[in-house]
Amino acid sequence: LEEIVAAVIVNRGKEIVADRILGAGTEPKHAGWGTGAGTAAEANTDLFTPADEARVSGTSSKVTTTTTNDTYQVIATIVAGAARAITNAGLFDGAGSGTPPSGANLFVKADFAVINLATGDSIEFTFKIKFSN
Amino acid sequence: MDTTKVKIEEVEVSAVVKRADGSTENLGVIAHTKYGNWLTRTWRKLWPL
Repeated sequence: LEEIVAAVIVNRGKEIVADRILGAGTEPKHAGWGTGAGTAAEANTDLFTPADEARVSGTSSKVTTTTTNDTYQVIATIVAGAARAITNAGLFDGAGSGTPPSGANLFVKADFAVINLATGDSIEFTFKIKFSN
Repeated sequence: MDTTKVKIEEVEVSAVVKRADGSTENLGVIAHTKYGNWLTRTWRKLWPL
């Protein structure tokens, strides 16, 4: 498969996976977005310049990519409260607080070509994390 | 399944832009990474085969 741009499980995200196997922690299904530049990396702990919109608790499920239920999926829609040039997005294990939202732990982060939005526009993100052996 | 080899294989993000005027733009996959075997390495470091 060809890499398009980075979509990574960050280091804290690996710990979240381990926690969840242990029955600890909270589900990382809160989606947020940002407007800053950069390439997502495992050491990241937040988005690039988080935008003011609150994180959205997505709809999570297990879906099939190759073998039955091998993929964790979160679908979440964020609505722009103002004109935005969105460059990155991620999932957190909590909604966080404040404007822009901060806090909670980053699980997965993706950077991508800018998506320009006007007020009231939205993006429905689908995050998929596939497990294999 | 050999659980010592379980790993995250791929992370993929797709997007559909929904405009305030009701139109939609399906951007498809906007970010994708196919991983190496970090979890395999982690597990094997903890429990060498």
